[in-house]
Amino acid sequence: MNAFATLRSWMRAILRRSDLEQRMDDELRFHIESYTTDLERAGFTTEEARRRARVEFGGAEARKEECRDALGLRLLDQLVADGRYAGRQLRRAPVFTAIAIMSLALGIGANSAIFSLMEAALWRPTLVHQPDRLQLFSWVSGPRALMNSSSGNWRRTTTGSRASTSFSYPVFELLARQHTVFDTVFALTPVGPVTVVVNGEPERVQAQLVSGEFYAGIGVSPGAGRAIGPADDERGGRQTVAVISDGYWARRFGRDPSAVGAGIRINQVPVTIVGVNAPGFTGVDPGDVADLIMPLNAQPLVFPNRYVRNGSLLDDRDYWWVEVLGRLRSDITPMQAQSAMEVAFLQAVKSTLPDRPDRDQPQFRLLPGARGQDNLREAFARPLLVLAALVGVVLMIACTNVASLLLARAAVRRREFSLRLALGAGRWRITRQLLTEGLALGLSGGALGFVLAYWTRHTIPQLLLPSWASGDLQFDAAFDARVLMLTIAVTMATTVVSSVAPIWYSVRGDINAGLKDGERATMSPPAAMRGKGLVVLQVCMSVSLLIGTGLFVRTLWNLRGISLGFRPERVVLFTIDPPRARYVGQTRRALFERLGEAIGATPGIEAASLAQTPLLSGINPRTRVGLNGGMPEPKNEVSFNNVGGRFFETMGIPILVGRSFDEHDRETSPPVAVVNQQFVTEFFPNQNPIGKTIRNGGLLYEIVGVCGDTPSGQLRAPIPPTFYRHFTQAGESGPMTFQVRTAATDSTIMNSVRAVVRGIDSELPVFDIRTQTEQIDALLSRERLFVALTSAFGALALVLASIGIYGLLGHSVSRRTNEIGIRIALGADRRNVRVMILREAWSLVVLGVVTGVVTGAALSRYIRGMLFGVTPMDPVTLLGAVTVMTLVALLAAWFPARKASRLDPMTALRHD
Amino acid sequence: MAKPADILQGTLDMLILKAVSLGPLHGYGVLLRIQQISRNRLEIQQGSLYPALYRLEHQGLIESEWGESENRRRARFYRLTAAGRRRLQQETRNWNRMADIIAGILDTRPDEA
Repeated sequence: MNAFATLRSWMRAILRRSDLEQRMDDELRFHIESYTTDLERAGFTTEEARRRARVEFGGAEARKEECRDALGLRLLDQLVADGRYAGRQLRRAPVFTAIAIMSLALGIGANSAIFSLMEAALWRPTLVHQPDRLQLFSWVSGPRALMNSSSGNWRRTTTGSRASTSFSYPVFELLARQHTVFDTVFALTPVGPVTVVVNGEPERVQAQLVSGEFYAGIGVSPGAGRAIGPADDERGGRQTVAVISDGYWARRFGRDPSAVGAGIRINQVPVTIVGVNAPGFTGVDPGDVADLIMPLNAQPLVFPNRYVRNGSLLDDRDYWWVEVLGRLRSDITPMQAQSAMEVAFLQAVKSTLPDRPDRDQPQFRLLPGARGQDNLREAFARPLLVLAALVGVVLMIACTNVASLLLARAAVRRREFSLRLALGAGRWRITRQLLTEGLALGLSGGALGFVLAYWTRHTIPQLLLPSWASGDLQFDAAFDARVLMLTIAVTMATTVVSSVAPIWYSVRGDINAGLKDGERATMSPPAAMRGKGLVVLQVCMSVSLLIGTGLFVRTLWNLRGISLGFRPERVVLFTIDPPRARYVGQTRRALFERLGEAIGATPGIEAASLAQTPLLSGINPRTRVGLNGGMPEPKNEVSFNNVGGRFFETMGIPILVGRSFDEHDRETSPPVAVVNQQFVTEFFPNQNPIGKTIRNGGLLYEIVGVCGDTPSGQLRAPIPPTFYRHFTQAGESGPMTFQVRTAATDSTIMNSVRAVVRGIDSELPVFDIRTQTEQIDALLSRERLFVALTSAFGALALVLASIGIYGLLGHSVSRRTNEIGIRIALGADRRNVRVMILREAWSLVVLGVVTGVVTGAALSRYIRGMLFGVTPMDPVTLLGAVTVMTLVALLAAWFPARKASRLDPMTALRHD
Repeated sequence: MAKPADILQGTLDMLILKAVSLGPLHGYGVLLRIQQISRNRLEIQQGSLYPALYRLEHQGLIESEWGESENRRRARFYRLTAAGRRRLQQETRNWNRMADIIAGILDTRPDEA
């Protein structure tokens, strides 16, 4: 009861402060006047009475202060006063304040930005119902997989076995019957970019196929329209349905409600849009950005020849391609489900695949499915952690700067604080004041930093996206409550860390000595050490960061310097995907031939060709081949590419032995192949491969030529053995990428190409136009991003460190003005003075550089996996970092040194 | 913050509560009444009066409102609350008991020790 009354009184005092002050005034005045009146009645004159009353009452202001204290207003008043004082202090030194707030803002902002990326990629829960009840199906087996073909994600485990999340459709159907342990079992698979025709206009979108229980399994409904249900996922039918993403709805249909129910066409098949997913919906995996979701059973209808296998994949027992998840029943644990599914899986495999004693049997593994395959985490966890560490270092440097600034100010005010302590002020009171000043800086920097990070939130995700891609970002920086909380926490921690040094200095230590300090504040050796220690720390951290930058720069340099084996300049790439309803089999091949010839004949084009897989696209299709007449074996796994006749000439790949493809190689002529040098080294060492045969896809290809090596999809991977065949001899083809080498750098060449394509078929759209150089750049997007970021951070660190050195030395010079005056008067010349000051900086820089090199070399061990062609302890990089830091530091120290050497001895001697 | 001897502060609080319990008073009136009921044997430091009044009001033992004084001027009048009444009774009991104990000690003869 009492506490409640107290609280109410306190609130009232705060909210009606002016009323309170007025009341106190009135009351006290009334009291004094009443007393005066009484004294007058007792016989004193008016003046005498008034004087006595006032004297006896005592100082009204002091009494009012006691009253305020009685109401519990003291703390608040002090905090407000501290805040105002801090604000005044900051306004009086605008340059320092600006620098401090900017460095804090950049440091905290960078941290905030990285947090938002981590939130999007690693932490944010998906919008599914109870994601921890979802389980992802997977299997592991030895290296000789049981099934003949598969697609999707697979990993090599530490024991050398193979882990995969892909299943065949027949196996999925059998597993889906397991209702003993699962409420629902559903399947999904991405199909990549597909051509969709909306209102006669074609475009490419990302598509996904799901089973009928998908929406039931994830427990989420679309935002508009209806979901795909089991009734939609049935065989047969001449048309099908789709659910589109919110992003696609906005981009393509402008959020028009009539999109639901609209008809579109994919591969000439009519598809009805029946629903729109909610905004932010990403299905099971946060990295999923499917614009279009369709039933799995639509595969034979809409994408009949999409995959390596032809026809319907729904009955194909030897092609494993769908991802399967299940929602556990509420009373079942994952372990129980694992045991049950192990048995079911074995039975399913046995009943669908024949006995293959030379292969390894797969074993079922149930994995947590809360984020599906969690591709984002796989791809980005390590880089994001490295970035987080880097921004942490930048923030530490900024904190150190602010701490130095506050420390310098505290040194000047040492006398004031010692006086207050001597007069009885509590240490906590002074600590609170200094904390408030630190907080003023910290909060301003933090708020500004958060705003900066929010404005630039799209920068990094966009840098990771290839320049020609359209559609939604793979992941969008997420600014939500958790990121805000983390930013506030970092801001508070920064404030405390920055204020610790000045507080420690002001409040501890000998009060007596502090009182004796003159205004010039000779810092006692321990205190001066602190300032120098901070500078050493800054230099150390800057050097570490520079080492990181150097390593990433060299990695990028090395990657770009890899010999490509072909000539990428002046090559333009684009993709054509003829609709399968009109072009299939023979007609499809003929169309590509015609296109290739017509484009190659266009003026301004030196050479043109086509290929299933463009070079350095990140994709590396593989297959198994049989050699020397034998059947395909798992140990003969090679890369392959189906190309047009002039592929090698167009790309500038040399033919080392034999010949390339020519006009005689057609569908009807004997199948031929060209292999790369690596293929020969691996499979026909020290032999002439010409005339040997490769068996693949039921055909026997004769090797007619050997070409130079080119990297596979990735630059970092070793060059795989590759076999090339003419696309007319390679079965059904999907979309083909054309390569055209232009005669000169001609940006208008695509207009001519489009005209040529339209001339052959006006409905054939041309997609994904980019140059080969851009294609390679996209492969290096992450490395480029890291170089950009570490360079920016490194530059920032250098600036901050030089400010630190400049500030420390400037302070030292003004402190030693008197001494310098004496030296000059005694005969020291300008150069001696300059050297003296520089020497002070030199020892700090050397110490900082040495510790920085040690720290940097130790920490760079953790980024070894991201480097290429450099070791973490690369001497060139270390030397470079040391040199840059030393030069910058000396430059920063030069100005105070010069100022010291220019002192007029007369004024200096008089300086206090 | 000046810390006068606790006993003194507690005593003043008690006296104020007692004075106000006899009827609503403004600050000056509290002073006069204490002097009056102590038959002029006790003088209160004028300066410590108002902080004490504010403190007691903050704790919810007395409440105040504007009113009209004898000579028709505006003044703040204080009145005892129920909680204040209870506190007064409690403090009175404590005081009497303490006075008893101290008196007993002080009365001890050398031979009773």
